[in-house]
Amino acid sequence: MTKIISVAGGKGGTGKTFVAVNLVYMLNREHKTLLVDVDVDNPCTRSFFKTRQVWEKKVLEFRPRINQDLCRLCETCVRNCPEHALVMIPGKKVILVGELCAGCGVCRLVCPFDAIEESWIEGGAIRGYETEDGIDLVVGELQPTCRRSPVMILKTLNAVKDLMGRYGYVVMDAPPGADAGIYSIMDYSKVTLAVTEPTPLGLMDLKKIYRLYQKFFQGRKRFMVIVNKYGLPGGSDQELRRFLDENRIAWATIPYDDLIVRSYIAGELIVKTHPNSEAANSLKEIVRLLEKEI
Amino acid sequence: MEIVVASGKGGTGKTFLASNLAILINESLDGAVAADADVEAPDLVLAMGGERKLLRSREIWESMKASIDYRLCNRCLKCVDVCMFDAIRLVDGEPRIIEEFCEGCGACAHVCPANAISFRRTRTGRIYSVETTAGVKTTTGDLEIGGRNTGDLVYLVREEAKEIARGDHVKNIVIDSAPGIGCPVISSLSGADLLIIVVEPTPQSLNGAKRLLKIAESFKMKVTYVVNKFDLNEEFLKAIDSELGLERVGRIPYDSEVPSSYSMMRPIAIHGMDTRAGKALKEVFENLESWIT
Repeated sequence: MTKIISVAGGKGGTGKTFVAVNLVYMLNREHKTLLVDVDVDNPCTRSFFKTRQVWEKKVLEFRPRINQDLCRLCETCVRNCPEHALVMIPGKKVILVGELCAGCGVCRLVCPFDAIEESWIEGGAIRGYETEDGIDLVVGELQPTCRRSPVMILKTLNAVKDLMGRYGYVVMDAPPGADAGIYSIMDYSKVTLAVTEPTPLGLMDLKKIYRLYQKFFQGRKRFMVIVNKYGLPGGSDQELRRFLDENRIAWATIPYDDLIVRSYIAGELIVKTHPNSEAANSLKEIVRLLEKEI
Repeated sequence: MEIVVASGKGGTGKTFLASNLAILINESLDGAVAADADVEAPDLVLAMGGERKLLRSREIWESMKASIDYRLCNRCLKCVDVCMFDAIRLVDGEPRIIEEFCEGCGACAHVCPANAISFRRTRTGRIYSVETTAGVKTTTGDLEIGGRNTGDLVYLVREEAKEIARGDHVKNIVIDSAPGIGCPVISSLSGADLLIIVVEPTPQSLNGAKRLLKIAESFKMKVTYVVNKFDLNEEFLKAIDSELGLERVGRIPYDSEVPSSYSMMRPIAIHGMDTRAGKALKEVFENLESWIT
């Protein structure tokens, strides 16, 4: 059975990608592991590996094209567009505001004169890579100016669904937040690792993603917390520890360490370049904890 | 003037800059109202020292979700084919709506020959405005967990912030954007006047900044940037300057007084202007004056 782990955490910049890439490297030594980058707004995992693209799948989004010869200016499409992306220039024509269009296709369905033709734009792409480290990587990437990140996330998950069975572990690097996109990522995984930091902001956002877990997944999936930047100068962890204890959430720490910052900037995997550092040891501890939990 | 603080990558210091700028602008320059447009992780009020007084709060029920009346449904499955969002799936020969993915667009109802699909309103989230300890009135959007329609909620947050600004004769609104380049970010930028990109000296953050810039270009707004934690990787600063090709309004060093200011709920702009981060912040603020006024 493939073990699917998502690395999430409500707040941005807590170290999700750092945890995901290092975790994958360690897991891959024992079991063939797939890394899926579902931070479609700004996927960064590739900067940690030497990669070679193996496949690509474009994700297309519907856009209406109005055939002005057939359009009778009846305004049915304008009234039915849920995003108000179609605008009538009275007596002249109907125009599309592309940035607002969600690509739902309702306009084409309601037009009584078949004046709306379908066209497709590139809303993003999903790409498969092989890495020099022997890890397989799939990256979902939203096209800038396209807005439907949760849809892009779902398409990426659907694209890897059939591949997952080949792997011992699948690790998914999630975007920040707690919306429908995160819901679908958690829905696909067995365990969610929520990465947070010891600040009130980190705690506030952790609580939100924990509520998401409680509402939809408690009892059938696992939720664990990684407190990154533990011991951060100026940080505070009392309230955080109280929250973790009260909810009986399994948690582990990664120390605050300049070495992590430097290796992140250099695009290095700390478990590979500094395997005996304190940070690498804490990551190994997390792998042990994970193997025990699932 | 609507000023948006954003970054393609998360955790670069958007909330830090937005909260402290809002405080500084509020103390001079015709005042400021702040708007927290990171509706999935709203932290702006915390960063401004917390809430002193709740001004108003309302629930938003604008998210439409489809539901199927199975007594009428003839299992033709047209709805499954027409849905662009994979929100209707075939389960045991029946169409099943996955609410979390439903955009409420209505396409399924239009193709249903049996009139079996109807729509109900669900909770989008909450919008509330508070007076913060720092004295800046702040409007926040808080998305229903697992929800969508982030863009709609951000639009409503901005409208409420504008309303408060009008009532108080305040000229500026500082918007703390969500990370990324998706729906809530586009909704934050649309129609705003100035974008301040917060970038860290890492390739990952620069990549996010460049993706964000592509969107800003389509909106024809003024754009500048601040390098945060610049001293973590000074060799990278040149790359940022040349790849963004914009006028920069400042660089802020890494300073442990910043996380400490959150933990103590004492914003740098009020209690820490003599710290390293505070001094750099002052410079950013002074450089921004000509952009704002």
